[in-house]
Amino acid sequence: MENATDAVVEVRDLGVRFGSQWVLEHIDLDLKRGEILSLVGASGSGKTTLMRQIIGLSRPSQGSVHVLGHSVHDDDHEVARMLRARWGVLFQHSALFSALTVFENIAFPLRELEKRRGGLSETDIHALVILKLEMVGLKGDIAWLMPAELSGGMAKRVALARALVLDADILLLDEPTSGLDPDSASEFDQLLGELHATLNLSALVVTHDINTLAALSDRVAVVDSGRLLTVGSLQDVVDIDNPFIERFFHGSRGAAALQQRGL
Amino acid sequence: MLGRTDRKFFRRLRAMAENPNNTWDLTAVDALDSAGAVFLWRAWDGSKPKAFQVSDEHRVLFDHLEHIDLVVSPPEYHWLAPLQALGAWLVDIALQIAGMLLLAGQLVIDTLYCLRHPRALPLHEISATVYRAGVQALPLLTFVGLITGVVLTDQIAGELVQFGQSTAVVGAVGLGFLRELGPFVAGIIIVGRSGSSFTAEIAAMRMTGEIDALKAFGCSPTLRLVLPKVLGLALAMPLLVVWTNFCGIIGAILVSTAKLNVTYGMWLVMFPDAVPWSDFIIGFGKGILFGGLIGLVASYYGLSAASNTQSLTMNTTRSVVFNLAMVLTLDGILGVVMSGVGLG
Ligand SMILES: Nc1ncnc2c1ncn2[C@@H]1O[C@H](COP(=O)(O)OP(=O)(O)OP(=O)(O)O)[C@@H](O)[C@H]1O
Ligand SMILES: [Mg+2]
Repeated sequence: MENATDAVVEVRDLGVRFGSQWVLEHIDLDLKRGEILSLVGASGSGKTTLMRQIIGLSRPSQGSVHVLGHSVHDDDHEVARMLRARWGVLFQHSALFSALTVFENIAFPLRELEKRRGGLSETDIHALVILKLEMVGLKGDIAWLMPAELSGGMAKRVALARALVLDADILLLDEPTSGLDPDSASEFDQLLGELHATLNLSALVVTHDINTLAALSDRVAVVDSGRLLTVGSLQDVVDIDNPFIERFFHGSRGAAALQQRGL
Repeated sequence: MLGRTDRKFFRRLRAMAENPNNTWDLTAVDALDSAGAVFLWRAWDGSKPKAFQVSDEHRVLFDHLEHIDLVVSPPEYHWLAPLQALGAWLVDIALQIAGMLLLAGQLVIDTLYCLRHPRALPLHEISATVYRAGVQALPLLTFVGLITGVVLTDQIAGELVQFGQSTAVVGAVGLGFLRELGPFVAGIIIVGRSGSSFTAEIAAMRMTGEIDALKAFGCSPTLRLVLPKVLGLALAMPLLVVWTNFCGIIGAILVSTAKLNVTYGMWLVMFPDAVPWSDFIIGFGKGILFGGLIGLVASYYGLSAASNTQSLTMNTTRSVVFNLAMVLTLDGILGVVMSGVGLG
């Protein structure tokens, strides 16, 4: 069922309605194996809603989402559990468990996996957690803090470490660099680039950060008021004549970043 | 700037507006805020005057006003409205109870899952609940139990002395506590102390997205959050009932020794005869029942909260109100039913 070229995430004719208002309509989107796909769109255009649909947090009003060939609403528990071990999710507002320490937050997915499969010792878990903390540029000694004691940027990194801890091959990141200072943001870009190169992972990255976008994405998807405007290489998307794209890519910030990369 | 209550000025403007031949030239106005624009707009009775000049910057304001309805009339009152509200309320309650039953069903499924996968049993969370809702409630229950025992005994002491039945205090207070007062007092305290905090905790986790995060990592929120609360309270509550009984009777002994000359030693001898085991068991059983249900109801209201602060506070209130009503009702029904089947 899975081969090297097919899509790891397939969104088909997806529609989501809150009350009488359609927040997403007729979305068709593929995340191909090994690619980094950036999702951009104005505030409130439905990016987070789309992410939530992809990880099956709520049922769509219309259409379907398949991950690795399985419906995210598959009734088979084993399938559902397998999927959750294959993706790593970073939520827009970090969503760290406030009752658990940083250490336990990052260890959480490991412990869930351990409950089902076994085979991980406490020492393994400890080592993995510290390793991932290093990876996202944090010192091991913050592991014993509570999430409430972290700055917004640190919380974001911890959430990223939690998303990476299972070495998932699909990453779903909702605004990973918002709230980080520019240096940390470009460090993150570098980190994701390295991971991508070494682990052959596929990533869907929601972002407002044109630098991240230009540095990393293989393809760019643009949503506007709940509809998918276009998907394509950055070069193609930039050339489309549309007011949102115009503002996003050719506004002062955007233009500078693009120019730097010769687009 | 224009004052909102500047009625005289308003009337002058109004009079001017009534003459269609007047020309309105606002080009010389430097600054115009929305309050000023609305003031003029009302003087013009909701439309632009025919002869009207304004700088482009300010024209935007008036263009905007032209397209919106400034007066939003409140919904009309219908004489059936109170009845409708009552109906809606009843339907609401019915839906909530249905939701609780669904949640209970989900917990049964979760429990079965845990039986097949014992590692998934949230032991750590269960023990945390027993500690937080049980052990930490002991000081308050000690206090409330003692006070209740003292007051109750003090009240009936007078009567008993009058009829020369001092030793009847053992049976009266003992029965009253083990069957009714113990479970009742402990129930009320736990509703206020733990029920409210369970609801707030779960609702807050919804707000921060923690519930979503649990699901995304393949962890069932009912198994991880609700089951430990229900089981933990069902475990802790009967023990709290026993402790409340104990404290209440200590309070009773203090008063009866002082006022009735019924001493500790006499209690010890007479208690087993006056109070049958069945009463102890009834109180204990009520504890398990109340504990489980309080946990279930509190969790239901937490999970059904929307992710905003208002919903959190509203559902916390609802949770406490429903739980209190439930404890009172169940206590009443059980009392009547059990005396009906001859256990009274
Ligand atoms: N639970 C909900 N109930 C009702 N409406 C919702 C709900 N969640 C989202 N919406 C609406 O859906 C639309 C899209 O929201 P979403 O959070 O997906 O936007 P977004 O693209 O992620 O925006 P941002 O860039 O600000 O994060 C918004 O108009 C929002 O009001
Ligand atoms: Mg969002």
